[in-house]
Amino acid sequence: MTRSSVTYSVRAAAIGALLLLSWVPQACTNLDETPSSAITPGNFYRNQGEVLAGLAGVYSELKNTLWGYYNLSEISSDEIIVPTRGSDWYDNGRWLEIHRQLWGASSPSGLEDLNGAWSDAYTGIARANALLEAMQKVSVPGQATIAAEARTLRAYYYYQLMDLFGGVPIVTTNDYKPHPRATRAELFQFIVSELTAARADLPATWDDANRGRMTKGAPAAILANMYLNAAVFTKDVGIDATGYNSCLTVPVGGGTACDAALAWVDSILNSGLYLLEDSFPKAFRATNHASKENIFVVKNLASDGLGLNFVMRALHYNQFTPAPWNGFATAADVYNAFDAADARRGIFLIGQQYDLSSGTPGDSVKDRAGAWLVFTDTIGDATSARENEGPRLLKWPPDTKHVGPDNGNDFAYFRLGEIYLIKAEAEFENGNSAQAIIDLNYLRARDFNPDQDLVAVDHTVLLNERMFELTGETKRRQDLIRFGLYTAARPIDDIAAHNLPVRDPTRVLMAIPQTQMDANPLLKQNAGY
Amino acid sequence: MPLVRHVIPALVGALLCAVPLRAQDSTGTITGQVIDSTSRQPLSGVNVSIVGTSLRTVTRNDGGFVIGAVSAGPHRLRAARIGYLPQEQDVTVTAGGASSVQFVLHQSATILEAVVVTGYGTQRREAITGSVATIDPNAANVGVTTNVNQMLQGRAAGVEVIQNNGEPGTGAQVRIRGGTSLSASNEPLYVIDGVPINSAQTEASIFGIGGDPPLPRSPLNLLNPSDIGSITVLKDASATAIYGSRAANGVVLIETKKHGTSVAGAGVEYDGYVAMASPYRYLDVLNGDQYRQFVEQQVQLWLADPTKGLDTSKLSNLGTANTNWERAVTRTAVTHNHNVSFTGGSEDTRYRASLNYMNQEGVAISSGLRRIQGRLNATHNAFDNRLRLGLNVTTSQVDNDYLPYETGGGFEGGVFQNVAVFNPTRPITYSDSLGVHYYEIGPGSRSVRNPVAMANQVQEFGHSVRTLGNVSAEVDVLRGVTGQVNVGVDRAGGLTQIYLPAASPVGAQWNGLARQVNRDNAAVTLQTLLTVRRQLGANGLDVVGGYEYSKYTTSEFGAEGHGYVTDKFSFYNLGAAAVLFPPYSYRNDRVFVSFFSRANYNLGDKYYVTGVLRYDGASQFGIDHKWALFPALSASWHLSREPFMANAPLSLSDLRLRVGWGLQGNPAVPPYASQILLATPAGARYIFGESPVTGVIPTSDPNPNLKWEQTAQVNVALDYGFMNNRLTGTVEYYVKNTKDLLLTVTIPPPAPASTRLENVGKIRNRGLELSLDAVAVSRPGLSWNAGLVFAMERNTVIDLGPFTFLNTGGVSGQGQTGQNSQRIFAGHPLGTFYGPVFVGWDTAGKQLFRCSASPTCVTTATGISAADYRVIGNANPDFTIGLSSQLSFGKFNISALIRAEVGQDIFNNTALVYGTKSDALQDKNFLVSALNDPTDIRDPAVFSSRWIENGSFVRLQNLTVEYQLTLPGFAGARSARAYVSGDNLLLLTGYSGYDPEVQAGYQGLGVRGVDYLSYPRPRTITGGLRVAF
Repeated sequence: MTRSSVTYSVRAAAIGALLLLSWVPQACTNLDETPSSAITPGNFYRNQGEVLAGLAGVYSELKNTLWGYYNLSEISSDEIIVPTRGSDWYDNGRWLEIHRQLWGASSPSGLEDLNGAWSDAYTGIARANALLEAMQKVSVPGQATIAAEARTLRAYYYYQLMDLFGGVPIVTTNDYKPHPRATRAELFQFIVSELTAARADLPATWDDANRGRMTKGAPAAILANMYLNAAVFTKDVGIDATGYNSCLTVPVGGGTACDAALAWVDSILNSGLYLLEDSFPKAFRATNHASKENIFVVKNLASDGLGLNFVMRALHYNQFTPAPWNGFATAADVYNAFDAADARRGIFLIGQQYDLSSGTPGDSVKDRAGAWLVFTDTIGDATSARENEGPRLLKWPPDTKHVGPDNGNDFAYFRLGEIYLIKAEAEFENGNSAQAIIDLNYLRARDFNPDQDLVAVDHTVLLNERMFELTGETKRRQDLIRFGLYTAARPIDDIAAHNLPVRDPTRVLMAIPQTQMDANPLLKQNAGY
Repeated sequence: MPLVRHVIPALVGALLCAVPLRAQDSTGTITGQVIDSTSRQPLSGVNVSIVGTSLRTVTRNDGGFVIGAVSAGPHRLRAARIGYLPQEQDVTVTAGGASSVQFVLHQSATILEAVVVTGYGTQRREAITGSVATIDPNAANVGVTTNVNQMLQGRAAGVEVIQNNGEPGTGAQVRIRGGTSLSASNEPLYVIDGVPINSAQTEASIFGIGGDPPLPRSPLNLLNPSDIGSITVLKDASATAIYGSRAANGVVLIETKKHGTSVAGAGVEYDGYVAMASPYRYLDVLNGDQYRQFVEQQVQLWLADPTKGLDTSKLSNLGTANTNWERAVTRTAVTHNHNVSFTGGSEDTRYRASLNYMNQEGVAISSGLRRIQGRLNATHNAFDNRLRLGLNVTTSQVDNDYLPYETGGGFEGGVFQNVAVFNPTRPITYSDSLGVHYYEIGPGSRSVRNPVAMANQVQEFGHSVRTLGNVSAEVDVLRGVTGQVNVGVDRAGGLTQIYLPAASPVGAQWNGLARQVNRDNAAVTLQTLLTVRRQLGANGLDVVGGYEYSKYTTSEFGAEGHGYVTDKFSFYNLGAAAVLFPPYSYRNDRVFVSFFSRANYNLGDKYYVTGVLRYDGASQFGIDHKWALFPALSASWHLSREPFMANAPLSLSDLRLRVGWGLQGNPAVPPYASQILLATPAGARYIFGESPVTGVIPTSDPNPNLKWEQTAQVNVALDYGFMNNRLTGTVEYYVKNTKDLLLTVTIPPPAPASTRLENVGKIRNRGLELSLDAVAVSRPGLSWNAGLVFAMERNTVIDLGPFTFLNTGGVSGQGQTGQNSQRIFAGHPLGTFYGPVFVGWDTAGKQLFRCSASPTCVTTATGISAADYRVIGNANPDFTIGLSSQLSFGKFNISALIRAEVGQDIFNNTALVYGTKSDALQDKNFLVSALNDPTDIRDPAVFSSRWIENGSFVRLQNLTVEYQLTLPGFAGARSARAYVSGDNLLLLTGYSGYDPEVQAGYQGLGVRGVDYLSYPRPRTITGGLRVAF
């Protein structure tokens, strides 16, 4: 071994190492990311199946609105109250806060429930925007119908925002920029024009395999409801919190919003596609999928994560499997307003309770302490209720085939019953009381045996009839606002005992949640917050 | 396979030097002996080397050594050993002659290596300019140590370790200089034998009944603490910047034991212990008699006034038993641990292999951990030690038996919630003609369950098999130039198996639920390094440069079935289910690529400068921000080497000033977070007709600007030594400014997803750390070393981007949904408690709170408004202290570790929810503390300042007494030591809850100091034996 060979080998090694260092970076600096188990918009929405999967995503957000939008619409009215039972359902005071209309932008319910309802609706809008934008680049069979469904759903999500918050930013593309609020009147007009345009491309009915998707009836029903509420829905300020807000006061085309509401009611009634069930309870059972009373439903299925879970909110812990939450109850004045002969009072559970796990009443059940579980009609003190206090709303009875908390009852945001009520109210506003009474009695006919027909009608009768028919269907908040009674005192509040403030008339609009104000500096808060 | 492409040239490059160098013509030999200055006993395992050459050896059992083939002429000889101050002596070697040298080593105050692992290399301790703490694994491996994290506890200033709870194998929250991240991980980077390890969980999480599942396991459970040779904690940016984007939370460098570092020659060591653990504190709920008495009293109240007390129906639910559920679910648990290691080899090839078996029972029934682990380390030197090959392989199997419990949640609960609430007048079991059954309050699904039954019936198991290996090749290319290639592979397979039987009230709602999830984690790392060392007269320069590539992959497959005709199948026959869920699977990949270099310059052993540059790329960042540069600069000045310090006062023997600055990153962004993605979550399904249709929805928003959190850190330190370094220590001050915090920000709707991860906000941490080590006594037959670490840290949120505040710290328990206990807002630290101020009770027993309307305004729970909330506490301690002491006399060695934290507030969530009599309204038990408070039975549990307590504590963490045995008739034993060790022997605290050390990361962003039902922490007594042959 010579000196030179040593030098040689050392040099070669050095060169080898240097080459290594200079060569490696070129090969291994690639940081591109390609997800394995997700997709990107660039490689999706290519065929009908993929587009329909996108559409299912837009529909699926409807299910989430049955928590946020549903709870706010019901609990802020007098139909549902969530009393604090010991420590149970105290939850930072948010349930009573909603009932007492004490929410604010950053109060417990403001940050949870109001923000939830806002996010849910906009999530639906975003999904529709993403799908509609992608569909501009493809052509698939049924394209126009699919687009019309997405637009109808998007308009309905905007409807919920308009209902709760007033004017909100209108955005119809995928973007991430803050936008300012439209006025409520502008939003109203936007929804009207979207629904009207979309309706042209919707079918009148679907086959069984597609039942539950949007039909021409859905936009018509939403529009009828909107025009009836037009004196509220077109105003960010100036809603009459103590008097009736009439559709007569809102001009539409050559006539009034009452006329417009009647026109859309007629389009539904004259289509010949809709029919009341022969009995009231039938419309809400787990077998209601094909009911001709349904116009716009949230589809449910007795399958994990796909069903309706209202039984969980209302029933006592020991009444169902899995154990329900014993939360939502009804105040005595609402329950007692129902006529004892009215079949519709059957939506409340009261008295001795039974195990409903099988879908039908089984054994009598006991409360947690071992006494018989008997629901009372009154709630003594909503801040410290006992576990058996308050009637429970069980309009959608348990599904005999329920899977855990998931029941197959479809939930109708719009059904034929409401259409008759809209008709009656609009006719009454137009001075046609006789027709209004006919419409109301047509609806009452299936609920009383023998018949107990109304002979006179006024605003109180109209509001009560709406409550008897529509309790638990998210309409009560709108109705109380329209009739000027939303912020009126309620017996259950017991203002003196609980040192509560008088209800504030500005609560007819909810606060824009602080989370959203933070995210979008262009948002202006509603008056009164 | 790119890796193969890199490895092969590297190895080829290395083989090119496969030509042995000729020895020098004229050489001599150095022989000598090394002894301990105190005991005058020979010291084995001392590294003896000739400075400036690669010639080195290790002393034998008799302390002797021989170094051959030393070139004639003057040399400087250096002797170094763990725990001793290194020493150098000049020696002149004559050709063909033998020079003799004797070293007398003095024990060092700090038990420190002379050479410290600093990331991609080692440095002499005195040359380190950054903030680096080392931990002596031998001193820290006492008692039952399942995991390296436990060894860090109380032994390094500024390193806070909180075990999640007392569950075997539980993870820990490790914070180096405080957490600076809100949503991203605050855990340090762990580097084992030079390879950064994947801290992803090896097993999918288990069920979590009525709440979040138990906290994840520690990623370090795969390592046997007895295999650890050194632990180095890099704290400041100038030290950690070499790890760039992954270093913002500090770096823990772990080197495993290798042959020759502590034991000379071939040998076998056995080390084993048996430990007994039992809970050292109980929650103290009412016993059966107390509960019966309480209910009867309340019924009397009710009879007198039906608005008060409990009605008579509650009497019917009183049983006759007197069950202490806390005792019923806990036990005295036994742990066995056995290690065998052996070392051997020749001059050129050496190995160390070890085997570990550990079986740890949990102090709660039906829980535990079993580990079998093997490790092999081998080194081979070739070509006159110019090529050094190394191999490390660890493989471990960990079997976890999980207990069904929850770490938060509400209405329903697992074992520990039911321990608190289950009726104590009811028995655990009862018998009838069919046999013995667990008592439940009713048939079928129940939200209140017998905790003993639940623990025994619910089956939740995790099995992880993990193999970690790396091979390295190091070659001296030129004099002072070394090239190195290191390839690491980390592969973990985790299996989670769950069965909730129909017979249990937990599983009844599904009529039995079985789930199995397989997770697979894989990581590969390639490093190539070039190190240059140059001595230029009195000055030294060393530069290391390199490239690193890491790829991490996680994939998972899971399936679940509901409804089984029998519980007998457990999770072994998923297909027999009445309802089968669609199986799911996913895969994630991440890639890190880095170029880095570090230069150390030493000017006359007085001034040291270190510069670091790292250019880091990570795949999961936004398209425009995949790469970033992380620089650091630090310097030190060895003041005591200056002539003007020659006559330093106060017997000052050493003084150094260090200053450093650097940038680091936190890359804890999930893969694909910067992209817009479409996915098919279960919640996006809808029903067309009567059939579910898969829905595809956008699940994330694009963020091309998404990047790492960036922390800039300044560190100033003074190292000092007094009395010939019998007293040494460090005082350090640092400021960490973190910006571009990763936060989930609400995007103005209608963005496809309502939120996305963005970089907003700023947080500042400032801190003072002090450490002090003293050789208090050092004389033949008696020595006493003591160490103190002290740290104080102040954290402030400077800016939260678009948020005025963030509520966090969700309160757990029934009726607490939506309630938060903490608020993050600018000007306040993380861990700020925010809520109503409790002032007392009214005459009716309603709790009263301050309201903002007027200075005298008070209100009951239902009248509290958001405006009444105030800052009501701070979860951060004023300071923390760790005190360790080691006393040796004769054959005894006594060590102790005491830890203290002072000034922190804790939210006693357990007392809020279970310390309220209103639980009795629902036939639930509660804490004894509620019996005598004036709260009315109908008043709800309200979060308020009432439940914020001072959590200061002093804990005797460990006390160990060791005795050096002489084993007669066992002549082969080199040494034998027996010890008894006690963990968690004493806790002094005014905190009324279970344990003032709480891990609370799961309740939301940046949460600290929330105590909710946790797995009991044990007190453990261990007896062990260590024998070396």
